[in-house]
Amino acid sequence: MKFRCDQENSWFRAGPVLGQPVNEWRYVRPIIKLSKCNNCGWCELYCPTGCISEEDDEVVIHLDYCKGCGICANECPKDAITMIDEEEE
Amino acid sequence: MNKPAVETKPNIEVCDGNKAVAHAVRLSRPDVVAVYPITPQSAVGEWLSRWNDEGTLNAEVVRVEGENSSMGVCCSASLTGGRVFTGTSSWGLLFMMDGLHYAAGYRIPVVMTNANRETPGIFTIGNSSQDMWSVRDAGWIQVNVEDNQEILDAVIMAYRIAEDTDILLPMMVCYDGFYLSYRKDPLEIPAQDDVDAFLAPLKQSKRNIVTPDDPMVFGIPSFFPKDQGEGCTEFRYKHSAALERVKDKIDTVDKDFEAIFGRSYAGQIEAYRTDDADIVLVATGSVCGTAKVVVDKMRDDGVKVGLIKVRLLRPFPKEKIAKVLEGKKGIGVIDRSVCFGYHCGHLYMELKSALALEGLPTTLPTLNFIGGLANLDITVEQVETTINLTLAASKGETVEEVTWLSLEE
Amino acid sequence: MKGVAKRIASHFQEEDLLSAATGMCPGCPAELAARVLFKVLGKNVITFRTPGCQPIFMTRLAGIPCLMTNIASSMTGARRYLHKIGRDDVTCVAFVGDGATADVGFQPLSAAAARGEQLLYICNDNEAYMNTGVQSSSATPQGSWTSTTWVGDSHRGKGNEVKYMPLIMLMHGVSYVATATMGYYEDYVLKVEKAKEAVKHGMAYIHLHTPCSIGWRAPQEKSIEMSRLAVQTNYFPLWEAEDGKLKFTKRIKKPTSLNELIKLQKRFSHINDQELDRLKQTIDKRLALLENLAVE
Repeated sequence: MKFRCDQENSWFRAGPVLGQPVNEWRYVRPIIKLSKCNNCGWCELYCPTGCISEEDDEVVIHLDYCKGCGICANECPKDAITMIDEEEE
Repeated sequence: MNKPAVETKPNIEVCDGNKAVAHAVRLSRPDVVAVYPITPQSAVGEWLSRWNDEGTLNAEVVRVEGENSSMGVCCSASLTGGRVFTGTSSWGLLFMMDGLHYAAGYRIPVVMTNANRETPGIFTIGNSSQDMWSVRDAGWIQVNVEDNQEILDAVIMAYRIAEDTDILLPMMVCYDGFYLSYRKDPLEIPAQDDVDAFLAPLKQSKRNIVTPDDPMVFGIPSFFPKDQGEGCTEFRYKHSAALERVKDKIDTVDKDFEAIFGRSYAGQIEAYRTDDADIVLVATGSVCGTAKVVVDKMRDDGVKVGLIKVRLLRPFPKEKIAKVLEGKKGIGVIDRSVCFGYHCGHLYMELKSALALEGLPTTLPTLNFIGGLANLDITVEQVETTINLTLAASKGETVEEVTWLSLEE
Repeated sequence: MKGVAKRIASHFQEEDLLSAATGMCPGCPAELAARVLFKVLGKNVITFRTPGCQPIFMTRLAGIPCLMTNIASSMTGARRYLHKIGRDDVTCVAFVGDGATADVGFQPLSAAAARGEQLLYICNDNEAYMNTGVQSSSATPQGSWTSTTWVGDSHRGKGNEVKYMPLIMLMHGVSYVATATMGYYEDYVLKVEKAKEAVKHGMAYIHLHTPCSIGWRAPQEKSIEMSRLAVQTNYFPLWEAEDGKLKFTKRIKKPTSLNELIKLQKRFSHINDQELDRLKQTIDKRLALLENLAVE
């Protein structure tokens, strides 16, 4: 008998799970026009996957975990984010 | 008299089966108790609530709004580390069916009592084993007991078995509703110190608990590469293997119990006067009391008959039963329930499977007697009939395989 | 980050405690709400979830998966045991769908509320059984298409009005009841903070409105906008009740036309003027009732 789990039942330790990258779900992706961005932080607050953060006073989108929902573009008060087709460069 | 003092010595008290349960639970010091009334076991919750309110039981008693919630309360309290208890019967047992599977699947040592009663559909308020057998595939440990002292002792032993590191499974102590739940007997109520000593080994027991200090979650771990199925298969196997380990555990716990309290119930099965018997009755629950009387009586008349009282229903003690029945000439099984789809009783179907699996000859005359549904008494005369018919079959006479006792002309 | 966003973020006790990516659909406001919830509550929690749109994402916190039929009782068991061992610091929090709240799990929830159990219960109301494929629940609005309420010659979407859970919970006399939506972010954060306090005295119930782009057949980028429109049209009024005293947290002086919200959702694409009117009447009736109950 070969077992893979050392537990008697289906438990496992909750760790800092990164999750699977979800970039394959996406057919559009957000592009930030930094010239329009005033670092207000709404996109960071509203991103459902939590993949937007501010690094060195600049908004960065971690595309591995972006599902391309477009909420950031829709909520941005400065219209600094646009969604472009995944195929586009 | 009603208020139990913390006794240092065993105490004799006249109790019905429900109060026997309550005494056993109080002595086992549960953390969380869920109570909900249902005939014939409502007094279990009444006693536990009363003792809790009066201060002789230090537990969180939750008066839930239904049995499905009783099981929910018990499961989570147990998952977070508590010792738990709830009691129910029949309709209530079936109402917590999803919770029964949940508790077993997550390997939570919930201890529960069930006062056996007929199931809904034909409106009756009476005893049968239909409810107890209906949940036999939920993955619980199930024992069924004969009398009120055994109820009390079996509940205390249930904590030792369920919470054991080797086992970690929920356990249901079943007792015949009405017959035992309302019958009063003088019982020996164990001393608290003795029960504490008996349960003390559980302090070394290790199990996972849910706590924010070291977060654990449930689910199929991601290292099962293909899909959930492989993980599920592994956990199902481990569950089933743990259930098999209960067979030895219940025997050793019974011996440990005897060492402290001086009472033994022989673990998985009790073989009564079977050694030199030609024919053997197989039964479970309170009817075994009547059967023992009839066996003694027939023995006096020169009939070599014995009785197997099946205590452990899940896991089914097929090895022990087959060992006793090896070389016998006839078997009669008494059932208080109907196994739909097989047109016989549950214990009969279980026993036939066990005999086949253990390699006993299929030609061995084996009869089934269904009686005692919805509080019908299984009388001394009826048990005599079962023995006479089994005897006839063992001598090669043709006898109907399944006899519905009260439908006989 | 600056201005209002910075002020909101100042309420966060913790970093993001959920996985970086979850299996939730793109644009799901429930995923956002759960992230925010634990940023405010912190790690000292035990989470409870049922099968549905919730279980997939709470992977970094202690969690108990429950049955849809008895989650409030399951929370009770853990909460009572934690109390017995002196761990009243731990918050027991559920994040559960409208089906498990208003339908199959209602009886245990009602009982736990009546017993005054110290539980934080968040209802993720996306207005149908979304995880199983958009079947109608008692939180589904009148006239809406779902996969069990079709539009045809004999019926036109769901026939009955919504079972309005927040008021039902208020009538149980729980310590804190609030309605919230991610469209009003700060309002939600403040309500979670209040609930965290209120739960020390009894049950706290937050009814969270979470537009579902799949089930509502609406654009995924509009889910936050729709949750804002739901408030502005009085379709989902924002209020809270501390110790039974109901007050609006967002008064809508000039309501937006309900049509603005409805037209974004293809589940209402069949709706005619008469049906829209009926929906408006339901909304007006509910608002009038709330205004009668409100102390301010």
